[in-house]
Amino acid sequence: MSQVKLQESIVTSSRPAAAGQSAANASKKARQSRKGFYASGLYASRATSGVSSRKSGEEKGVWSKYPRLPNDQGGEDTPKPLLEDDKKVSYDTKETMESPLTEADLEADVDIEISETDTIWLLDIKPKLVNPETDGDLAELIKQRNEAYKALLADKVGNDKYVAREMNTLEATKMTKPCQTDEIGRSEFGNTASGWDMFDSFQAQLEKEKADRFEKKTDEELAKEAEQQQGDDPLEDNRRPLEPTSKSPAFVGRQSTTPSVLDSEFGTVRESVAMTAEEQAQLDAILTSPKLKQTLFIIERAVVQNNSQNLLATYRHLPIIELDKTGDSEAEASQALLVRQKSGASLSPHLAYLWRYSCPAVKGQAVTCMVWNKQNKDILAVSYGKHEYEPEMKNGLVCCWSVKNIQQPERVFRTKSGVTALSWSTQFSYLLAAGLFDGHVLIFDVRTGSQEPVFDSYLSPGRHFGPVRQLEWVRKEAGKHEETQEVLVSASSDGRVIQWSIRKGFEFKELMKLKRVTTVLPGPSQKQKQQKADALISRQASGSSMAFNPNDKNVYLVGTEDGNLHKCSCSYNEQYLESYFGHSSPVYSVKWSPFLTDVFISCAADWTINLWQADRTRPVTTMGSSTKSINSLSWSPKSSCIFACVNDGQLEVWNMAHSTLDPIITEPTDEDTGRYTHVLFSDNSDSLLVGDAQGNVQVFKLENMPSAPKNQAEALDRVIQLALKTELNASQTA
Amino acid sequence: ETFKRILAHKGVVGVIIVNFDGIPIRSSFADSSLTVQYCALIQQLAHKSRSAIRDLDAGNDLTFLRIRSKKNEIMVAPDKDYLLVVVQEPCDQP
Repeated sequence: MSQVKLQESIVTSSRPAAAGQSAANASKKARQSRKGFYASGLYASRATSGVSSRKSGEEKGVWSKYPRLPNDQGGEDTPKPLLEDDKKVSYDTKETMESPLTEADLEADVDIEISETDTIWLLDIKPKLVNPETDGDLAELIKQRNEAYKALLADKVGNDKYVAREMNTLEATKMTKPCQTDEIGRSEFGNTASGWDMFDSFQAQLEKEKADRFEKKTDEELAKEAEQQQGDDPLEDNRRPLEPTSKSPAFVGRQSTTPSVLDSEFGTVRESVAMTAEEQAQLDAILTSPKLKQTLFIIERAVVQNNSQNLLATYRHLPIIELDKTGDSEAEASQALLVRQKSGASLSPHLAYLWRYSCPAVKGQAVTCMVWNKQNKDILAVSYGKHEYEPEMKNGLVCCWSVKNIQQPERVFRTKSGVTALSWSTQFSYLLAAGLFDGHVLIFDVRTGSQEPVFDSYLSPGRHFGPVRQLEWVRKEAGKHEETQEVLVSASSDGRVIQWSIRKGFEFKELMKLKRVTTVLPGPSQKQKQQKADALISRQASGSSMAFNPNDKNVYLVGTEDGNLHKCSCSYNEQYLESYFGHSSPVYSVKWSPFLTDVFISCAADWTINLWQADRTRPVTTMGSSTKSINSLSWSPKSSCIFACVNDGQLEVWNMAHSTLDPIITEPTDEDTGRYTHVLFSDNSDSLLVGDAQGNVQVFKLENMPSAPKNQAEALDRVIQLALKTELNASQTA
Repeated sequence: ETFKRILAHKGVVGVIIVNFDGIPIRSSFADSSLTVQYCALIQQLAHKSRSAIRDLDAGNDLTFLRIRSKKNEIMVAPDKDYLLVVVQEPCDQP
């Protein structure tokens, strides 16, 4: 009965969720009631109270929370909770335990009661009871399973029933039976995928993917494409039976080179096979492909270079490699030695003949102009035409030669009339301007090699009426809103200097009209009379040469057929800035010195070369050595005092520092080469190019030239000063 | 055109154009067995050298191959569809 009381009291106390005041009060009651049940000392001695005793006491209290199932025998049949939830109660008991604890209690004897702890159930599977009468089938099944389980327990591995035993089997009788089949075709195929093979395949796949993404093909279209490509395979199979027929679409398209290795062994066999139409078409495609032309072009260069290895080596200042040849080696070596000895013996500067640029197309035409390409110094443009006026106008030619191929020009442009002037553009290094004998100006693009000029002045109203004598590309600073553009300036015999621009179409702008200027030469009156007696054919002088000042692009020199030189500026088109008198015949060439900014040199048909200074109207020195008209001259790019000039009979190289009376080298022309018409120094090697009236351009190497002075400008200046001094002396003494 | 010009150069023994199968398309050798021999051998060599170049760097490709021997020089220009072979004997005069 007290149990019931306990139950009630505990239930009330356990209702509130957290440990609250009411719980404390309630538990007090419980405690008190419990005290009646056990000895009071039990709770006082905290230290000695075992878990088990406390648990049992509390458990009883908690236990009574759940509905209790008393069974038939009177025992408890309630399913006990697995986890004791006794925290609340224990806290309460702890609290209440503080107050009654006194000294006396500690001394008092304690009775400890030990009782059995409850068993802790970990697993409790109740056996299922099956009534054989009611659930007949299920009972049978279960019985069978039980039996089977019993049997398994009895028969499991390790059991005595499993032992190793030998048995004897009957031998089956054998019989051979032949059978005939078609021969099974065998073919071996091997393939190695090298690193670049995979690279190629992936590239192709990547490109294909890009293309697909770009075009947004559907899957169906892709499948169709794959099908088509598979369809092509049978065709290919005829020629390549060893190739596997199943390929992924990405790989089909590419030209696989691996099968070809195997095929080359079968090449001899396939020779006998007649070529199909498809193959023929393919061959034709190969033969006419531009790639083949390109390759042939390169190979030709290589072939020619092989032949002229030594010459090119000397041109480029490289040591000559002696090729080992059987049989001829001795003769070759001795010959080479001779040549070297010869050159070594003569210490004076001289020219060594290297090669000549000549081809059948240009035979018979005179070289009128030669210019190096501004960007690639190995490319030379040569123009062919008539040097002097001739009754019949022949077709002109412009050839681009390269140092790499000395046998054949790399580009050939044909023009309607003889070409008289050439110039490469600096801004666009592939543009070549050509001035013709009939006054037209054409611009070619050498990249394409097409015969049609990019620009021409045929329709321009401002074109020249006389032969264009000189062309030059000038970089001009245009207006504020434009960047520096390059314009083409042409001077011609009709007395006009015209500036062409290529920005939009081919525009022209007249820069200058060359006027006749009476020469102011102090001399005998005879000359003056001559001037007055001159019947003026035209009021304009005809320009025969032109040169732009390399420092100041606005100022240029014009040489006229009268023999006068004029300094002009692009800003003024009426007046000359300065006039220089010194020649009495057409000035064929005027060139600024690349080292001194105001020194220039001119050559004329009056057998003389004049050196001028920009602020003196009279020449500083006059040089001449022969009685032939001097056709062309060129400054040496390496040395400020050296220049070369060419006249009808010979080529002369002058060194002004050495002597202004005689050239240091003279090279007479042969009978068959004809007159020399043009000379040009080479910028990247010590060579000299000379063009003659037969269409040959000979290349000479300068040897044993005096080395360039340290201060080029100073050297030239010294020469000028010396010359002026001598002149002064001469005039003083005279 | 250019083909004939190359043939006309000094020292050139012969020129062959081979397609990727190993069949000579154009040949200047009168002796066809020699042509075929050149084709097969040179093609293998060109292929081998091309694979060597590409194995070293997959982005690279063979543009020109020159073999100098004691007696002559063989120049090979390989391409996707074909192979151009020029055999030249050395001589010093252009």
